[in-house]
Amino acid sequence: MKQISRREFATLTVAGTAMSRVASPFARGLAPVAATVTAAEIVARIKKQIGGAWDSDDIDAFKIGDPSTVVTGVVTTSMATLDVLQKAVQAGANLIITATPTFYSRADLSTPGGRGLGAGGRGQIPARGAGPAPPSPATISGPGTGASAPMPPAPTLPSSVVPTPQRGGAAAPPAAPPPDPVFAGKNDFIARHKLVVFRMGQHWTQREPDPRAVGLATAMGWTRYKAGNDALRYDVPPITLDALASQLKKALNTRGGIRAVGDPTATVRRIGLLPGFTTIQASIAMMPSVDVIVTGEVQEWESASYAQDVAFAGIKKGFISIGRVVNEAPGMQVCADWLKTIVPEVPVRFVTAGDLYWRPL
Amino acid sequence: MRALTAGDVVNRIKSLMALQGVPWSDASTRDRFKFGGADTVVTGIATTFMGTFEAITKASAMGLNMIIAHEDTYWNDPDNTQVAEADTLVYRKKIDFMTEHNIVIFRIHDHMHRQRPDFTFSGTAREVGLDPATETAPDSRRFVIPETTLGELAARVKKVRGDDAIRVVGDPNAKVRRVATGAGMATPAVNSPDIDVVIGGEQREIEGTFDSPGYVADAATLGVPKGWIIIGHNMSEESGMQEMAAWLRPIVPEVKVQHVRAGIVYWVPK
Repeated sequence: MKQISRREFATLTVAGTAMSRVASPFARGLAPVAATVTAAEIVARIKKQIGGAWDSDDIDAFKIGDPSTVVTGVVTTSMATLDVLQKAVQAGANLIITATPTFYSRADLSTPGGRGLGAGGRGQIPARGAGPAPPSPATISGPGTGASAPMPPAPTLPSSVVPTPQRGGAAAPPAAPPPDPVFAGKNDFIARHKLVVFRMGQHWTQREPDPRAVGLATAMGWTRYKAGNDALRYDVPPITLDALASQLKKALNTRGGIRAVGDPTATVRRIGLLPGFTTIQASIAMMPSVDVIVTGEVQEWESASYAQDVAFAGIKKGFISIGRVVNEAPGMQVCADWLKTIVPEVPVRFVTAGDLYWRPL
Repeated sequence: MRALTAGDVVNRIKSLMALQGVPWSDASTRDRFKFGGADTVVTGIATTFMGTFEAITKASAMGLNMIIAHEDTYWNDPDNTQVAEADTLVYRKKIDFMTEHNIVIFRIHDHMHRQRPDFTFSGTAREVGLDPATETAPDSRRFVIPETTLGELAARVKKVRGDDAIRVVGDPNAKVRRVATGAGMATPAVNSPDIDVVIGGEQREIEGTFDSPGYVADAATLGVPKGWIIIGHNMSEESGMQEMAAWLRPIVPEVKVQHVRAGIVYWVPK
């Protein structure tokens, strides 16, 4: 058999694909489609067909990789963890569309910003469309700051009262610290496999109805129980809060991330979904008209404490937090199904990041 | 003899704080009366993580009508009552109970975090079983412990804490030694090169200035030993309110001072 070069092989297969693609659609009476599609072309189609205005590129944008890359396959995911990227490569995909950040912050930069900085202060999440704000000393929490929240400037204290914070560990850090091994390892894998990562965490969830609610209802078998036309509300056969939480845990394949508030033996029937991060205002607005709220993530001293007070008052209602990343998974499953309809050239599949959390025995 | 009022108690708190190097700042909107006022006669004091209905009810049953709470009462950090008034289920009941039982709530948050030690940190370290002798420096909030695995450390924390809703990210077999502690949202990020594992209170999963859960998940895939043990906001700061009770006792000898838990927030399904 004649040896062919890699280049010749590529030319042959691309030509062959192109010919068959051109030939067969005509046979089926369809318009011909391009043989190849780039990441940028796919994103352009998404922006055009998502069904709402694409009003900001601050969050939903390419995070790493060359947008002109010819796409071999698309993976949608709840979070582009290294594990998900490895599975994408195994599946022959090189474009990953993620609901949540790839590089561990809202800014989502592929190089570390500051090391050892605390995450944002309470409630300091920038408004949608706002760029990543530089952390101010008042909002940085972490060792030595003594603050869990922004505070007015603290007065200078005598050194006997506030010792200089010492850097922990056995040895002082070297003058030029080595590169962060996690950022380096992830970047290296992405570069080696020429992957392209696009985040779609904002515009996708702004679709009506919220794809995360639709996907969750599908996964739970609740679709037929939809209350009227509201994809956020389901009237299911009566079930105890405990049993409902267990069903969610199993159906969503979670591990340690799911947590509940309220009397486990309470019978619930009216389920309200609040996908993603939920404010106290949203919880208060929904709670009276449902028996249980299922949400992604809340601040503990807001909605969780509210649910705790409601339960303590003897009101038989529950509140279940399934986890923010876990909550994005059903929505990205729906996203994969939708993308198949606008990206016919290459396979599209959903790969879950799973539940990052586990619980000790 | 004039009866002890809530105003007296707060004035003594302010004086002792100042004496210990933390001058009182009225700029703090957190550290104020949240229900009742300075004139309320105090029958006893309960320190607690938060002004939950449960904490207030338990304290009242014990004859303690002044609640010194670290966190809010009305389910939002600024304690904006308008937010809570929108609720039709429990807000009115809570207010009525407090009125009926002559409750007074004073929040102590910002100033408490300026104290050294910050009891929320030292209390958590105590409760999760971190030996103070292993702290790298006074109030460094960093501990170097004998090498163990993340799984063993997490199991130990859960056992001493007695709480189910502990969440962990990372390879259970990762070897860890250098621990950083956090209280509430003041939970340090895990990416510092001199930290193996963080034991902390609460942190948003994504969208922060640094999202540790995703980082630790990738570290596990790469074989970089890192761990993230999140015990909950309540669970990480309640312990320190026991220290706060002990701090208060000498300055209010007239009444009983007791730590009352704000209650378990979450349970976990099977």
